[in-house]
Amino acid sequence: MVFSSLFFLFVFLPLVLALYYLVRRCRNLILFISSLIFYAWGEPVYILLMLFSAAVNYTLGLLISRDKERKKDARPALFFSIFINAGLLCFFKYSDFLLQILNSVLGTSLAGPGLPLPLGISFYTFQALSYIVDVYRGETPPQRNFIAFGTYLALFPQLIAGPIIRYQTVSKQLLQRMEGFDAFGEGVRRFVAGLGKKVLLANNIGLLWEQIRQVPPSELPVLTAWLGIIAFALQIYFDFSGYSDMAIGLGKMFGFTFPENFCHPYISRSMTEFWRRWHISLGTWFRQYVYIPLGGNRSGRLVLYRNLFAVWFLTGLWHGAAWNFVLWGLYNGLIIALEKTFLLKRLCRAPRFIGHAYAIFLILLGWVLFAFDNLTAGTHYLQAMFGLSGGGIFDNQSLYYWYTHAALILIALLASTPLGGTFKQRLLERSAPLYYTAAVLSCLLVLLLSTAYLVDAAYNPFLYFRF
Amino acid sequence: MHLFNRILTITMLAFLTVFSLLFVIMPDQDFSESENRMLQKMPLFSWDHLISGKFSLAAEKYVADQFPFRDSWVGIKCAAELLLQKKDNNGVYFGKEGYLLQKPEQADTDVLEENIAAINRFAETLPAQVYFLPAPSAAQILEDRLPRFAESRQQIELQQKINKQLAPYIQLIDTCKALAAHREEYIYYKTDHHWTSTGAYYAYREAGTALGYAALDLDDFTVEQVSDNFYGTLYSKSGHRFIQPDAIQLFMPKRELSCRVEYVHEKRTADSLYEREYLLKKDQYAVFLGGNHALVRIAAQNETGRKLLIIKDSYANSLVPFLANHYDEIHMIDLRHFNSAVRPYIEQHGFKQILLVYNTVSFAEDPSIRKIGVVSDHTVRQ
Repeated sequence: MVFSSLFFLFVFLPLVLALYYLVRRCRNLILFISSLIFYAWGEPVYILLMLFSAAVNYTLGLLISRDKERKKDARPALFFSIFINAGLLCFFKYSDFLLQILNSVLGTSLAGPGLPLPLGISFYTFQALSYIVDVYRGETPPQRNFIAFGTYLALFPQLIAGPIIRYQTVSKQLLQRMEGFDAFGEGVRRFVAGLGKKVLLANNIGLLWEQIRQVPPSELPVLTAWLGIIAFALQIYFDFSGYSDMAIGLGKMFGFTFPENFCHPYISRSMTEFWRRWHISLGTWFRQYVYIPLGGNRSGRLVLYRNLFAVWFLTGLWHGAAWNFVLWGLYNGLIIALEKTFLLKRLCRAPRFIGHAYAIFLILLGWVLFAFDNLTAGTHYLQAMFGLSGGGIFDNQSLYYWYTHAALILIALLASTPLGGTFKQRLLERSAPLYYTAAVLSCLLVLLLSTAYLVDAAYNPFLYFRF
Repeated sequence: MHLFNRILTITMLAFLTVFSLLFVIMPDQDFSESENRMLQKMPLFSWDHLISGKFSLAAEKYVADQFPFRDSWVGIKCAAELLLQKKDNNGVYFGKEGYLLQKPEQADTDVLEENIAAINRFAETLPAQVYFLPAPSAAQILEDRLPRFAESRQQIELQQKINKQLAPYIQLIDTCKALAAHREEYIYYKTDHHWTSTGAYYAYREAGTALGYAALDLDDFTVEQVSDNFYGTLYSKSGHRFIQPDAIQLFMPKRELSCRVEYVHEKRTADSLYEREYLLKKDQYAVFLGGNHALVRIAAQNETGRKLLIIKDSYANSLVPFLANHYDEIHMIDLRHFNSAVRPYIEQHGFKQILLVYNTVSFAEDPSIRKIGVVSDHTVRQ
């Protein structure tokens, strides 16, 4: 199930909310069971995988902490659980890709299992790993209540697309949390904002990208190619950050506070800054569980570069089981390494617009790598962007695309900056009642429009579904 | 702040609850008139369907299809799109002067080439003259009604491809010029992809030279307007809800034509070319010969001694009433529904003239055209 569907909004969510607030007891159990139903909705078989993962990690967490109490070596249990979690992820997500590599190296033709990817496996595996490592490091006591642990792992608001929540950030909330009108109202606002981002912006801009990506590169003029990749950049941002907003908002409705996941990434002035603003919870995870354990930047230049390579190789691979994602990760890593070495200092001294132009340019080129599974197709698209594919500068089609989407793109660009927040702040300072009225009305308007677009939706993909 | 959050909470919960209750209370609809399709009904639960994921898909579709006031929501979306200056939706252009026009898609050249090859082969050894009348789409003829900078290049390319690859022994009847000359008249419906009776008339007049009849003048007809509330396929497909309906006109020859129409597979006969009860239904274009049927035979008392076989799609339905003035017998075969071999049928009835009428777009997409080359009933059924 996805949040941006009528079934979720008008059937699942009202039922769960009613149950949660009317029963007022066994809240974790209610959340756990509804999360499992949410999870099982599209692919019921994988509910077993989820239960297996919960049971194994729950048991191993207890084992690790017992070993530590008895001053025994807890590393075997730690390694075993890392092996299990990473193994499941590899099997379900990467086995086809690994076999494909093996086949091309050895010239064999082994067929992969061709399994559909279990929803959110990349997200909940990382959550389980964070739990295990935190317990091993003694940063948090193990969770002895299975239902509470299961709720952490399967919690439906963030189950399929994050944010990736470290166990220690929610461990207290799992047993004690404060629901109420304030949190709920806050949650409603976040959720509706996210819904609007996804349904009104991402889906509609995505339609434009879908049309442009189908144009053969030899007929693709420069202006259309750039419009296409801008559309993709906006689609993936509003898709993903919209989903995170909905997750954070839903969390608030149930009394949870999840960490933020996006902070206006497209206003960055360097790649380093971009990654501090884009998918923050993933960056935090890799820093905590890969980069720092490997020695971070404290053991000299060479180790630093090795660590950067490892982190960005894995970041790329995490996004998908294909070479283009690996390449995209390394591309980001390379730029960040250059920035760490000398570029960042120069960028800081340069005028602001240079930083912005530099960052946006590199980010957009990166999205071309990201958008095409097929590297040849990606290369052709890049050629078209620079007028090397014979499609000319522009044609009627590009003019048509530009003027029929100008309003939408403009709204999306404005929405990706902090201007809206500043405006709200100003309004609040000038007149609180006016601000509150405007807020309620705009919430209602977005809800209304989103419902209209969902009722008449032919196109409602979810990009991060594949992760 | 507290009050504000309270209001927000209540607003949102009320919104969700009201519509989910309405959804439960309001009776399910079977059919959507404006979208012209069957709506998803409540899926029946079964473990098999649950495990395979079919149940959840059907349930989600059920909620979307039976959502309270579905048509109004579609209208709201359309208003928002228009406000944003969008000029197309779901493959339909919002053209000028209230025209909806089918957006030319990148045609599948394989299907097109196979279809041309199939009719070339079909005509090669046939002891009859084959004529091909490709009916152009509105986007091609009414190019000036397209939104600014929108292209209809694909359709022109389609047309050129057909002209070039068609074998010389098939006589091409090109109606583009004739139609374009009358582009200021009401030759295409604004909410439907078909040509109007006026459009079909100009095609009929153009075809006269090739087919060998002296076409009647416009003065030879009385025009009867039978509908002014026709919302066609493009209306359904586009979701555009702020558009004027079309009128349907029938051209009745002043020299009365008496004919008998036999719907062979339906085992039904009629004494009119028009099935007026369709004017009360959604698909009013079916007033022309009752829509598409596998095989229709029209016998008219013209005393010309001429017979014509038409292999066609729905564009022919409004063209045939004109042709009926010049033939004693016209048979219409729709290959999408006709499951026998065409060639034995031709030999059996001794046709000397065979006319293919296809819209260029559907000709480039319709895989059933390949069935035209089948020589015996046995191979069709396989």
